[in-house]
Amino acid sequence: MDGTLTLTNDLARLADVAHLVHQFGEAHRLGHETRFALNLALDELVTNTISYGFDGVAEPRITVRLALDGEAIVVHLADNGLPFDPLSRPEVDTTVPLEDRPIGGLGVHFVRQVMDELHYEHAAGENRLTLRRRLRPGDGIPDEQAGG
Amino acid sequence: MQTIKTQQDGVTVVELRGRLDSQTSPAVEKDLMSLVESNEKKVLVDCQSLAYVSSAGLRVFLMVQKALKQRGGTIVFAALNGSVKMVFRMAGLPPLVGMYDTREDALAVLKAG
Repeated sequence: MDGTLTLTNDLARLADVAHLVHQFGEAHRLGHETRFALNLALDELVTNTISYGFDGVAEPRITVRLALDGEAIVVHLADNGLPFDPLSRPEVDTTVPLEDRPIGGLGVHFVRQVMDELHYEHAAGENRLTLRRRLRPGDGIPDEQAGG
Repeated sequence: MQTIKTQQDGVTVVELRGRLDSQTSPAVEKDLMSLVESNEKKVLVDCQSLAYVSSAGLRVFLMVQKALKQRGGTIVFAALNGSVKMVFRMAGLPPLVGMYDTREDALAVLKAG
């Protein structure tokens, strides 16, 4: 199954994102770590868009789509917010002492860590992100241990 | 998201239950910062029932840690599940933040300190 969800600029809908990941994870018997990765990546990116991307936008809209493409899970994220490429952010240096670190930027750092491929484009008035994560050994195993 | 505070051997234990994300973090920030303002010095965050944390949650932890440190206090974390531990690791926190396997281990360290 593919999973699709349309959101507005309401952080309360993050629970729906978690629910979508849960349903998709059940349908494809994804392992706990992969479900966590999808949750975290979507949460961070949707949070950024809702928090910073919709200044002055009349009808904020975010669409999330999860699909299985051969040996990978593909996440499509599109929004009609201000043009912004989250992947253009400089890498976070996690070896810097806590006091000296800028407080933002960690979210995108996490997305880079849990996904294998990331691609951004701005087209037809939309920010479009495509993220891929290869299936891992714990994914797709018809075993209760794969749940979570 | 639930926050349960108890006092144990001179340590304030805060048990977090649920998902700590950008939607739930403002309330948790308020709860934890109130401990700083009431001059608590030893804070233990019990993560046994914390199912999930995002960068918004970590931001709260780091902010509270900084504020406590400025006042001579400490915050430590106990019983982190796999995904919460992974988020701490990805942020490079383990050498900088006290993390313990159990609440008892963390209490012992705070009591000794």
